[in-house]
Amino acid sequence: MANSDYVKCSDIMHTPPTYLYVDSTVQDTIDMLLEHHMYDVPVVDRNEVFVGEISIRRLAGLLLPTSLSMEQGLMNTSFMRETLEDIRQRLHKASGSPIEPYLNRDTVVVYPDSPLIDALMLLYHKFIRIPVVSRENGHLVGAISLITLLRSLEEAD
Amino acid sequence: MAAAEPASIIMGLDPVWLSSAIFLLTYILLVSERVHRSVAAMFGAGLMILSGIITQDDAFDGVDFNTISLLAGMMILVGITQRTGVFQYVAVWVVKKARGNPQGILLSLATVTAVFSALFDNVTTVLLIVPVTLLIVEKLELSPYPFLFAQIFASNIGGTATLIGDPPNIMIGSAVGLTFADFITELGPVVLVIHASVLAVLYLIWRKQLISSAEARARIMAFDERGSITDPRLLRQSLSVMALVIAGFIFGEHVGLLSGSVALGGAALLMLLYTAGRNGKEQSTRVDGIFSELEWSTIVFFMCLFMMVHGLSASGVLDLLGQHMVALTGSSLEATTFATLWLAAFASSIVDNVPFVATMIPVLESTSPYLGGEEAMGPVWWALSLGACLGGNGTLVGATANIIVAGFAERAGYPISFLRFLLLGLPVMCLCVAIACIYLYLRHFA
Repeated sequence: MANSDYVKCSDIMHTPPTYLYVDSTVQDTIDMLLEHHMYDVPVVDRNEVFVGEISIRRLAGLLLPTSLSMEQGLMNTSFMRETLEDIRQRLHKASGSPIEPYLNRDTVVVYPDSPLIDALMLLYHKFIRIPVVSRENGHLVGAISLITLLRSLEEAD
Repeated sequence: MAAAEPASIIMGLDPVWLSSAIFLLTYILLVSERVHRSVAAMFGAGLMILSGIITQDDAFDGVDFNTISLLAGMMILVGITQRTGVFQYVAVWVVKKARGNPQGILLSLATVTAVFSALFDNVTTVLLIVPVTLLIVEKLELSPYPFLFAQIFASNIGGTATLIGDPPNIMIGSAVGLTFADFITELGPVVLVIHASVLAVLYLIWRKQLISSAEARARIMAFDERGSITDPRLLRQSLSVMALVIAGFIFGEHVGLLSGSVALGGAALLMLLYTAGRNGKEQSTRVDGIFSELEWSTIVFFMCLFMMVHGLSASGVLDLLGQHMVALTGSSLEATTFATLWLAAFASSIVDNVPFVATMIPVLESTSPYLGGEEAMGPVWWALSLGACLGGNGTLVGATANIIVAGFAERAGYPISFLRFLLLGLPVMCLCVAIACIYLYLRHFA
């Protein structure tokens, strides 16, 4: 089999990827999540260099009291009684904040020339969507999800 | 303890100087915090053996296994008990009893922290109470600082009251033969006075900030503390075993039971109840879970520390220090008591009180012939306990519980800097030690 038969991430990834800028607000993230039904949103700086992701889990943390979302915080909350208004107030308080403090900067990425099997293994290990980043300049060039891959397989058939 | 044979010392070096150098080097490593304390202690103990100051057998003879058993037993008891949610239950219960009033909450949560710290270890107490506190002050829309400072001070003060409240007390009690009842009767009253005094000071400082709206208080009153209890059966078992263990601490001495045996016996009984009726796999999971939560690094730290101090003792360094101390205090029991109290307080506010107390115990033991014998030494031991435990309030690094609370505060967006803590902690520590000083004088020397 020729080397050219081996599939790379760049063969499958979808472009252009959906992303946010690092100076976006929590409200921008919420709008994007609601519009695109995403779980993790890639974040780039104003030079388009990939800096990390903001996850739906971090946003869920903003809806909780600080003592519940912090490291070593309360685990058992069954004694608490909360109203929707309590949660709405916390969301309102956080919505204007920049997303930078909530970024996950240790994001797993693949490169355009990475073998697709690397991306598939990452998808298998709980990642929903993997950013594809240029080796040369760190720019976000695409993303791969299971849907992307399945669509490519269907199209190939 | 006979001094080590000079011939056995590496390169014929003077054992006094060599053991002092090893101890000093280890202490520097401990204070610098660049090396984990258990690794630093292992390094020091290893050097004591490798340099020939003590043999391996001597090193193990130097370990106070009663202290180690008591520590390990209590860790297991606390590890199982905390799974029941009882700490949260009590915290929420007292907050509701205070009707959500911030001033009442400040006093009641600090008192709960003090009581739990007296019965369990301080670190576990603050790990479980502080998150509840942060939640409550968030609901009340108040600054958490008054509450966090109150709980730091209360954990160190409460831990002073009992044999099991703070590791220095465990070491002193084990080395000198002081019982749980001795600690409660001797230190309990003064700890109550100190706790009340510190709360009064904090109340005076912050009373104007401790105001919340009726709406905020209603949020607290909506809590249902019963939801905190995760396993009512285990709770009943844990509380029953804890009651048995405390009874064992109080009455065990009459039948020759040391506190370490009581704690380990209680731990074994509670583990038996915790795993009873489970299949083999579930038992393994539960037992492995408990043992994996044991603070092995703390246990190793204590063991190696005992070995190092044994090396110092064997080389005659501690006797020399004792003689210097006697010369400085003029063989006066009163002067030695108060010097020990203040020295222990200031030293413990800067360095870990465990190695300090481990070193001071044999030094003070060596002074007993000059101060009226072992029977007369009571005030000195109480001074060492009061100073070492209360000294933890002096600085942010004075006790592990302080650092844990500061970590929570930082994560909640309310950092406690070293200086900020010092400005309140040092005067509070001086107040506490001054009260202890008056108490010791009135009780033993007036």
